[in-house]
Amino acid sequence: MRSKKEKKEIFLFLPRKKPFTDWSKLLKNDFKLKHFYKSKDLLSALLFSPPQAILYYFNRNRTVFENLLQLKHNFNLVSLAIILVLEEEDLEKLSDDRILSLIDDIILTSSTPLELKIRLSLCLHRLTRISDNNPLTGLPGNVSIELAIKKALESEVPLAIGYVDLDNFKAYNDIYGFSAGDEVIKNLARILQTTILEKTTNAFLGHIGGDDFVFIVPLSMAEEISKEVIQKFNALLPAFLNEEDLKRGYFIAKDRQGVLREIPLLSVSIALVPITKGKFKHPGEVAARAAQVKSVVKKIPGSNYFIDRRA
Amino acid sequence: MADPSEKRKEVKKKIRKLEGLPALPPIIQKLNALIEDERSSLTQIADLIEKDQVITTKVLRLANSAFYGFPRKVSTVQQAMMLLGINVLKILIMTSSIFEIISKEDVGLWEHSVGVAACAKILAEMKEVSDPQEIATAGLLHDLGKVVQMIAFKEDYEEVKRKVEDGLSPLQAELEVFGIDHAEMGAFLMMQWNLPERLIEMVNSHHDLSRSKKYRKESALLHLADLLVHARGYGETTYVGLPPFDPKALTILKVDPSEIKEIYLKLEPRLYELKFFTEELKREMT
Repeated sequence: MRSKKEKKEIFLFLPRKKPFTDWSKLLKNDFKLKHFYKSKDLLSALLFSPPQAILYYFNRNRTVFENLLQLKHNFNLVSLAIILVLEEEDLEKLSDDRILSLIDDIILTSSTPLELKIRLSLCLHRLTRISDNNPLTGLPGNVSIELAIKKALESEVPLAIGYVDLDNFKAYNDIYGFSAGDEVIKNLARILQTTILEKTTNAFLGHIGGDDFVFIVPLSMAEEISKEVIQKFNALLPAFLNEEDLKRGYFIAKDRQGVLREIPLLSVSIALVPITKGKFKHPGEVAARAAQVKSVVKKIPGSNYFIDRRA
Repeated sequence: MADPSEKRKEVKKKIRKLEGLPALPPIIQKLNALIEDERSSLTQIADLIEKDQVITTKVLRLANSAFYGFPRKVSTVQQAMMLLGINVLKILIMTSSIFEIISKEDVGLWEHSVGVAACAKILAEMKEVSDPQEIATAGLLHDLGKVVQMIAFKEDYEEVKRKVEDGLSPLQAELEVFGIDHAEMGAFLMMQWNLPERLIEMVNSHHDLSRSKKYRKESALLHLADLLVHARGYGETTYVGLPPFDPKALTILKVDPSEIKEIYLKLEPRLYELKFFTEELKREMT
């Protein structure tokens, strides 16, 4: 017997009729169910306490469905499984690739309760098993990053790949501890995510690990996005520093040789590598070019971006 | 009469379960229009949100929720918006429920709150207390407990008003009815919603400086701002006259009584600007 606390929470946005009432009768033995009938309540609960999965009846309000997808996308809620419940004749409405990339499974209204239960459990297991996403930020990890860069090399639209990392992050971690460090990283991830998504849908953001991120955006927007990320990071930084460090304007920490030194505060560096079709053949070449650009931008004190203008 | 300590427990229990607070309809309408307009800047949107304590609380609550990873860090709307982004903000506004019925004098509380926010910011700038925007947020939220009373304890709130009419001081009336005052109620709700400690302490101690421990200067500042706005007569609260004032606030802040005039000189143009907004708000509410 499992205790109540271990039960995974599932939101249901289904009409109050058969077969759904039978479904929930069976599901409630294994899951903690929350029924929603008003879209406002559903979205509000999704924002403030997202569940493990949601069963969403496709024929209900499409704007709400759009918002649900938006939330999943904007907040990297990879661990939120969206399962669409639909009538057989609605299957053809699902040709939109964007929808398919954001939902996790579908189930037909003609399914039996047991079938649904097994599908739901499978879906939840699959999410924990195959995700290459970074556990801290929910952003795509190295496998996806490599795929995205490969795809970018073939793009007809000129793109830029941005390599983002923090300066003096090691000193910050030493002074404030790892969990504070993790918060700064999540913070940076959110800034990147919101800034990029507000500008363009034609974009990719991945988390290499630690304080290293990669984004891919249209070349025409790369500098504007970089500037905005830097500006937002600087504006939020005081929230993550204690007053002493903030007033002093630098950290005091031991360097690699164990000697106490003045170390500048956290800042963000972005190395931009423009990509035009045929310029690079292999993702490794981009990484090598990025390393050169990065060494330049790292030498400039404070938060900066630098764009590689070589052909 | 109910036992105040029992009532206190009941009130806290109810606040813990509170899912959200309704916002004023005209503010929601204006926000929607502003967000839909592509020319609006983040600053414009933040400016508007900062005129409503309910939406401000909601935005801060989301940005500070443990789920998204910034518990108790984000204390201004500007910061929160950078983390949440416009797309999420839109959905957040959409999920806001609105006040069905609110009396005209209750809208006066909104006016009072934006007034205190403006005054607190001016004081923070004059006295070089960091960060003025965060202090302004505390000013805006300082009477959040009263909003909770209006929404979740409507009948008790009427009872408080009756007792005040009968001559009791508002804080005393609240203690008799709820066993807890609005300052503590607001702070308690902010704690449930993971808001930053500094904001909570300021709100909690705005009528009683002895409640402040870590942020004495900030709390004294809010205490003074609240008094000055009451004295100026801007907006309406349950106080007909002035709330009790602890002169220690002046010592802690190192404010010389002669400086008060200077504060008012700076505050006056700000209140004048805000008046356009709040008058429009009042017109649309009735």
